[in-house]
Amino acid sequence: MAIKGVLEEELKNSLRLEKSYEQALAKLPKGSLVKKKIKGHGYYYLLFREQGKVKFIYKGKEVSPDTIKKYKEAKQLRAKYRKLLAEVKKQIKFLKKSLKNGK
Amino acid sequence: MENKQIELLFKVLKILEREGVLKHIIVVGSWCMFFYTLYFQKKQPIATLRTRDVDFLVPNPNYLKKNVDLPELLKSLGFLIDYRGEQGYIRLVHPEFFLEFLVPEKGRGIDKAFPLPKLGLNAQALRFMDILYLKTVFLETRGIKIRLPHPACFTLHKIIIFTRRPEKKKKEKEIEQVERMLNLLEEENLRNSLKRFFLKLHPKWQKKVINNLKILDKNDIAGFLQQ
Repeated sequence: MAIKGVLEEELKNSLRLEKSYEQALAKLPKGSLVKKKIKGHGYYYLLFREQGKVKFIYKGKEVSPDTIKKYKEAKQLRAKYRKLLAEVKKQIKFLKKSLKNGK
Repeated sequence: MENKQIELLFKVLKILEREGVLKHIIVVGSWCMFFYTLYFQKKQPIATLRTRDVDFLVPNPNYLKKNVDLPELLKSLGFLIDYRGEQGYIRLVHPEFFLEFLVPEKGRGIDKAFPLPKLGLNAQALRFMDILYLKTVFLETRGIKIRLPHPACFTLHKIIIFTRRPEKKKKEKEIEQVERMLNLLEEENLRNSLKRFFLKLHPKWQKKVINNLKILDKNDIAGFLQQ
């Protein structure tokens, strides 16, 4: 019985966690900053997907180091959060199945 | 999953050590039993069942002098801030485990989260935490020193709190842990330590321990403590 209690608590926690990662992903700045080389000159673009299409938004010849850092960090966090979100989804599936089979 | 969980926990503990925070905290909660397995060099785990909550007790929050932004430091490992309940207790969450900070409740108690500005988070103030640091032990592993409640103090604390759990399933889990800890104390010849720390408790708390042991049918231990 103690096991069932732990599983229920863990399921509750995982559902909460799933929501938290989804919210954290939504809060991250959208897209990646890329530097394109055109005729020997570098130009910064914000690259993202919208309704299945890849879009480039021109950001200028120069962008501040802070902006570069912001998008770099966001990219790393996005990859991390997506991976962790996938793990949480797996946990939820497993916990739901375990609780169902234990009934 | 378990190895990943343990590896991540040690990563967090190493960060806490590096930042000078680890010496101010005591690992409490069900994860203690994992660390007791290492402390007593047991081949088999003392308890196999534990939740993902890793509880860190800060017995003296005023001793924290250095500013360490823990949520920011642990962000790169994938931890997120989670606010719980009406009081907004902060929990640092990750699919492998959740970190919660606790402080001992003093006086009449407070009905809100206890701020830990030096760590960039807050803690939950709980009763009976004092028992957990009547005496502590150090586990030295993987190049770090982890502070744990003395197993006898941990057991006394569990004996007191299991009746305070409103949820039946949580109560069952606590009882199971009491059983396992009492067995461990017996195996490690620590029954006398149980009595030593029992005698240090407030008479009201001593009474609670005796009553709760009787509820669990542990009359022999209750008798030993009262001798």
